[in-house]
Amino acid sequence: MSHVTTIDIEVRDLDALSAACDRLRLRLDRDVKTFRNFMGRQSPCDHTITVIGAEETAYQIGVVKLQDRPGFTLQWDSWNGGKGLVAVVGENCSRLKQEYAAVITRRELQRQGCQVSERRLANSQIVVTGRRA
Amino acid sequence: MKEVQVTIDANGKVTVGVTGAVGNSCLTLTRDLERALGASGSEHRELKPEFHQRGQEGGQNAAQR
Repeated sequence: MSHVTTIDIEVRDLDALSAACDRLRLRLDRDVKTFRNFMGRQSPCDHTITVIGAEETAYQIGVVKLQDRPGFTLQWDSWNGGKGLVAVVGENCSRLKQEYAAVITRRELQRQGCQVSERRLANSQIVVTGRRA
Repeated sequence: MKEVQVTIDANGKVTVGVTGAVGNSCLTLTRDLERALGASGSEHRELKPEFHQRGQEGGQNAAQR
């Protein structure tokens, strides 16, 4: 191993975020400007993520453009498990971020000409491997 | 054969490891990936002995940092 890098990811790519949503049975609706949260309140956002099959019950995620740099922040209400949202996306949206990182990684390694494989470990880690001559 | 192994833990933390690449080519291989993932100074890079030992180029670059 010649080097190891540890990264805190930041959501910057809506296409990749949409693909990550597909992996978790979520739907990214672009340019939907409010997301539903506590007591039916609608809060402002730039795009919305909805749990497929629980459109009327689960809280939504608001995807909000960062003001100071390219990218987005995710906003949601986790009260009472977000009425089913947290079970899908994980605490702190960890599962959604994990899937987003996997999508980005696969795409970037393929772009570099790597042969790419992906596996999921029992400890919930996703391992993406790229090989090239 | 160069191999990049990316491990994404349950919290979305990403660890990138490279084998079979020496010196600066090793870093080049992962730089675009780190950018795409949103690395913005929050990343931590640990150079392994292979980085320094097998490539003159790598040793020089490491020294420059």
